[in-house]
Amino acid sequence: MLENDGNLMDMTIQDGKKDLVRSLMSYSSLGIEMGLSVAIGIAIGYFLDRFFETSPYLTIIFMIFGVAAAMKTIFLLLKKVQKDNERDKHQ
Amino acid sequence: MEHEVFTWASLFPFLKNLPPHVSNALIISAILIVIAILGYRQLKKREDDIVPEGKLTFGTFVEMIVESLSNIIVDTMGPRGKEFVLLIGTLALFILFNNLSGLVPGFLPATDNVNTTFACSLTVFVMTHYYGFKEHGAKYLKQFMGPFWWLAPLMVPIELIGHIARPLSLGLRLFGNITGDHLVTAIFFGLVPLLVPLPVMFLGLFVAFVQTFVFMLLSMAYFSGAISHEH
Repeated sequence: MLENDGNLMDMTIQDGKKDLVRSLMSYSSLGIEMGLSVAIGIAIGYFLDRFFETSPYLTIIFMIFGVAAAMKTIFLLLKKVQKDNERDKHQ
Repeated sequence: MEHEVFTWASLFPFLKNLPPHVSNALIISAILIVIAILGYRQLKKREDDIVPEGKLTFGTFVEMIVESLSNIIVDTMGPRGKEFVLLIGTLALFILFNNLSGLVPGFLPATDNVNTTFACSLTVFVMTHYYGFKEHGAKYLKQFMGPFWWLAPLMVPIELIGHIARPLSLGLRLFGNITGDHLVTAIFFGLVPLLVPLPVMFLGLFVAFVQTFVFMLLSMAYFSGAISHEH
């Protein structure tokens, strides 16, 4: 009986560690994706500006879009973390 | 360092003239194919056995790898993950073996070239949208428009930028980590070839596994986002 309990506890601790590692890995993607979102926005705006000859307005507009996309990345990750936490509580 | 660097690829006449990332990717793929065929033949030999083999053989080892890969994917994505085991597992094995080949002398890992990593990440990018269209039909485009129709002009560029950033970040991270690690190991080898590069190589082992796992995890997240019905 005691042995079984020990195993159970070990398993929960290990599961917690696995979850921690997993969430750390998904957070690690956040930084590079945020930076890239802004960079891609600026790049799209720059090339559209060159095409339509409307410099610099489209660059600025698409940079704002890029920043918004970066924020949306955080928002989606937060929502995912919240959902995971709720699922863990129910279990 | 003007002298010719030895690579295993230079031993094969038809691989000699290819760029190193292509020839190394070919060698790694050939190794993986050989492992797969040998494992398959071992599995087929004991197809009729009811009792599984007790000791660790080559066949059980291959079986263990496949099983743990599919367990990771099904654990993360839920029961629908089974459809993606083939694609994600293949990419994971390819990337893992390429990353680890950087630690073997004479190999230049194919993943330290942008072309290879972007090939992998673009595969994931195209397949997510393929599965999205397969799952939702034309309604998949609605996911890009946000919650309200009057927000669509605002949401479409944002979603587009977000979706373009995904394969870029996937490929860039893998490339950056493996290149950085390889470069640091090479520099330490150039400075002090005895014992000093050992911790860096250990770190390289760690990075190889972690980057493979991150690639898997992110592509799983993208796939489950494409096939999910809530948004």
